Amino acid sequence: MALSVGNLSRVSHSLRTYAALSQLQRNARQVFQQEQRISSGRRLLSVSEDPVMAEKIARLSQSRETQQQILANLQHADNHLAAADSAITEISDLLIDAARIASEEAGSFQSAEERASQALVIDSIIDQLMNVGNRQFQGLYLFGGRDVRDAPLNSLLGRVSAVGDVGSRTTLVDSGFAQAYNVTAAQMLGLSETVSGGYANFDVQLAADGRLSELDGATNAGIRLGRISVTDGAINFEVDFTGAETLTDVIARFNNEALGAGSLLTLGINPADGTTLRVTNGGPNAIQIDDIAQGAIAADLGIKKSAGAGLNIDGDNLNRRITLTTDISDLSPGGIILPNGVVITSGQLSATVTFTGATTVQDILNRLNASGVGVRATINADGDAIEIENLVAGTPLVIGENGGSDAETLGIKTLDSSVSLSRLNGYRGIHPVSGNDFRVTDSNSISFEVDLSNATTVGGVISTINAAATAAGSGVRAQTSDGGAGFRLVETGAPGAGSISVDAVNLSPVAEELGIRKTGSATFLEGDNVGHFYQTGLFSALYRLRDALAADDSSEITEAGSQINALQESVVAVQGQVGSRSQAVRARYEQTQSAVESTEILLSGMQDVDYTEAVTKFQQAQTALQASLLTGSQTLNLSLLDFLY
Amino acid sequence: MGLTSALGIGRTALAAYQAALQVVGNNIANVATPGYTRNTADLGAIAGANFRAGQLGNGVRLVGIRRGVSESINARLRDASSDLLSASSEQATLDRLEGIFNPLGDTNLGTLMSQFFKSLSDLQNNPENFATRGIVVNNAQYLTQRIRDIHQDILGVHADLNAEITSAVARADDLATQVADLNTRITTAEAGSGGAQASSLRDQRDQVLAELSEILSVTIREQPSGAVNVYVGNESLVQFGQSFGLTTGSEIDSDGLSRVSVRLAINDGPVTPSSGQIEGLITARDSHIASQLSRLDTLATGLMGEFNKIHAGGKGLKGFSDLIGVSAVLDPTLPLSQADNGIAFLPKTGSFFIDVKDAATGTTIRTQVNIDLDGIGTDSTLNSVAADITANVPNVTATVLADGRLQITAASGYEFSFADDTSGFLAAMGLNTFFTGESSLDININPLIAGDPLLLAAAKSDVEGDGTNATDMASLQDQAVVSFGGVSLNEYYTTAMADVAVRLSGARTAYEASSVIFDSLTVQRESISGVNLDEEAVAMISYQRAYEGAARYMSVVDEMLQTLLSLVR
Repeated sequence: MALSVGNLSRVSHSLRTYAALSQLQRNARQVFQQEQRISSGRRLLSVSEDPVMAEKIARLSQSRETQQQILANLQHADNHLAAADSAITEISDLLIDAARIASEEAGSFQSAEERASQALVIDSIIDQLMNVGNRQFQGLYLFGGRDVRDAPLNSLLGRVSAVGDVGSRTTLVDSGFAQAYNVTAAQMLGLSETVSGGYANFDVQLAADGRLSELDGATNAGIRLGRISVTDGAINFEVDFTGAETLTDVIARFNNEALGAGSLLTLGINPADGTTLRVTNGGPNAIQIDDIAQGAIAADLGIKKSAGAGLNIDGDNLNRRITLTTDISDLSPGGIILPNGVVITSGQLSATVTFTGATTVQDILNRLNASGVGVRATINADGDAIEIENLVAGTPLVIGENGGSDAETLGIKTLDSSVSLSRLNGYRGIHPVSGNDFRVTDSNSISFEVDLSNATTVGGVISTINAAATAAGSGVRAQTSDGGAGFRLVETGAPGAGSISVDAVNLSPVAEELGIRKTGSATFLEGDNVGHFYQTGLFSALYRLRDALAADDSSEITEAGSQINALQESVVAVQGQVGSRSQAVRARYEQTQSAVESTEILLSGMQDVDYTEAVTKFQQAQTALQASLLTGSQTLNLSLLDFLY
Repeated sequence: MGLTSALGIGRTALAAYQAALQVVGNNIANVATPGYTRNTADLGAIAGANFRAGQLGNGVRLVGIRRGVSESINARLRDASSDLLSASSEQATLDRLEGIFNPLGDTNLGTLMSQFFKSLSDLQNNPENFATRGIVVNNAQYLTQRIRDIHQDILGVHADLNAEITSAVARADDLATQVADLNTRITTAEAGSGGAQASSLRDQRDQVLAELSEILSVTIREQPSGAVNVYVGNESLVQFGQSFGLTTGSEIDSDGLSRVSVRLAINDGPVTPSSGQIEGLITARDSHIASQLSRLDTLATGLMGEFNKIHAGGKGLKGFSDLIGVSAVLDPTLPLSQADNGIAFLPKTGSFFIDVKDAATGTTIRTQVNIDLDGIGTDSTLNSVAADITANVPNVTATVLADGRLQITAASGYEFSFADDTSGFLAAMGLNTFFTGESSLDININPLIAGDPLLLAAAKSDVEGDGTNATDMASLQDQAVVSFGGVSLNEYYTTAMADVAVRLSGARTAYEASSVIFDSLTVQRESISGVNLDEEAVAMISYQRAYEGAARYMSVVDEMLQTLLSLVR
């Protein structure tokens, strides 16, 4: 910018000097700045030159960094998924081989020797599958879940045991959005699709110090913290539950506000059921509780209600979920006691697990998991029961009582009323005949016959037997066996001189299939275990096929073949899931890559110098500097004195 | 009228033009003297006697030497120079701040933050990898070092500004003394001079006042005696021949920083300049420096607080057998929410878990520890939490040390870790935290983690390949944070950088605007007061010729006198 000289009446020597110096400095600065731009390639030499543009550049740079992080994450996920896809293809091929063998050997023309040799092939397939399951990628176990240093599959008494972690590994694939990218051996090989136990459905008692986040709430939407309004006759007050962590906090805040407002209302855990809250009305007024504005906590706490004069408000069940820290005493209204323990039998292994000294659910899980017989006990997804996984392929698992009823109390006894009969006898179920299937004779020689053609569950069997006994005037009642995987007949009346016995009728195999075709004592008949829990999955099916081939059992080979065929579809489904996840990851990768490119282009446009413009400006500035040097030197030399004397 | 009188006329002319030539000579001599005001010789005819034919003059005399000065322009120029120096000081400080943050540099704070979070993103993918953990630790060290460096650099600028203020005040004090001295000399010189001005002394005083105005804005009132009184705001700085003097005071501000202020030496009263170099320096120090330091502190504390909250609730690849928190309370019997109890990051009502692992069996027992800080009933104190842990967490003992820190110790054969802290207690007490420190001054990485990256809590479970906590930590950069006013760390940093840029841009604009005004007024002043050699040359010829004419006239009169005297002979 040139000096503003306006209409000057005279120009002094110092003014001329001042103007020349200003102009020279200005032009020299311009030349320097343009030179810096050209040499650095940057349009902005400092953010203050153009704060708005600089801020845009900063934001875009951050965005680019984030996108590049996401690209790296997506690449990482894609590598894992590609490796998993390749492994699943191998599994699929191995299963095709196994299915082919089952199909070929199912016929009646194959010799026992040939089947025995094919059993060895199946053994090899099992080994190969185990190797695939324990495959490493970049030095880590690909299918080990989050436990990448330990092999997810190992061998326990000659059977494959799925000891690996089943958790997900996640990575950020967008800002604040993480996605799982791994496949566990259990998922891939179908090892944990079915679980045992989970039959108790505990009605968990509220704990004052328990976290509110453990509660599903009265509306099953959790506890959404907010404010409520309370009307107690003419007294109105509000309670703010924001920031509350436990029921103790909720109760304290309510009671504190009530006290402050002069109300005689008190909030507490309802002693009548232990699963709800009660607003005790210590005064004579009608009361009403509501949420304020769009809040929902009164509804979530189950106390969004009104009550008549002097009456209490009893809330709704807050549906507390089981967590690791849940006290055993809170698992049911009266608490539970576990004095005897349970017996876990897995194939040839057996362990007695006792719960003496256990106080929390985690204690129970720890003891079950430390039994060393290949089980994994966890809290179910709904948070109301304990589930058991059979980790050892092809091995029957039974959890029964150890002289008490602890297994039933915990809901982990292998057989439960809700179990389908199809699970009995190695998933072959039972086969009722037309008419009655068996006859029960009690110790008082009262006999009755039972027809199970309409029973579909264990509970159905028990109720059918009990109904027949009642109709016959017998005191015998059926229940699940103490052994855990069978039935037990108990004399509930006065025992007679004889014994309880069961016989088949109409050539029905059902009594045999239920494990009760035997004679017991006068007071009970303990049936055999017939409802062992098997791990479903590839290894179990292959062991079944191998064993059937070795035993030259055509029908079992056919059954195993059917199971393998069904599992092939499962593997294909898993492969499809992996493929679709991989596809989604790649699509996102491409999108992110194009976003990075767009960001780079935008950034380049903003922060990179336009060389044509910069060079032109540099030349202009250079010319201006030269001109100012020239004019300055000439005008400063002009003097009238040169022309005088 | 006689010839003797005629000679007298010639004598006056010779004397007048000689004096006028001296004025021209003085102008030429001072053509390059800064602040010099050109002088003009005012010549006047000497009144003569009245004759019948009319009045006949008695020659010429130097009526006065007039200074080519516009007091109003000088006053405006002083104001403009005050504004210019104020803007210049602000701009220079902000230039330094911009250089310190260097947002366009390759190793600026934003880049280091991005690298840190990128390494966390890598950690979520490879939590089991020791090298990846090492990179996170290294990047965190670079980041914290840079934050500390920036803090120190800003403090350096702050100290420099105090020093500059001190120096400027000393100079202003000296200039005020000079004004008082010049006042005395001018009034003495001009007293009884018949109205003639002591030009060179006034020029000197103008120069001193101009320099004083650059340092701090002053109001100047010229007195009939020729002295000027100088005011800073409403305070009198110079009265006639007395300067009341300027000095500096020093206070410690709420941030613990020394703050130099301007005071009148005579009564230690505060002086608040509205413009000038000192005002610019004070504004730069108290507004720009304080603001950027505050933003840097907010960034550092926000990063530490939020990051530590996530980290403290996570798990490393190994647990602790013994852990002492890095933060301490002053009084362990006071509620943990007490603001002045030594805790930088206050916890709130919530809870956390302590997982105690039996090394022999590998089994873990989880225990919930509640923190009650709702002000209802008895709130949690460090003592009560320690007692709670000792009483309820199996195989773990918590002790409050004499210095107010919490020590947690596992029984032999056990180790412990933490999970899911909703209270912020662990972060508050520096238990299992990643960063240490309370501000940008001392932000650092926890020496435990720096020494053993296996303790870097990438997981939420005990499983080695669990990187979910690292995912949460990596996500922090884009998450809204309350202490940042509801924006993310990235957003806050960008806004902070934009703030420096906008301030500097504004200061530049203010400087340029002041500069334009200053230039314009300088041009006007130089147009009026500056020496033009051509003018002086013309004047010199004019006076020379006049002198020559007078001498010739004297010669003619002399000849006439000789002629007359020869009649006598």
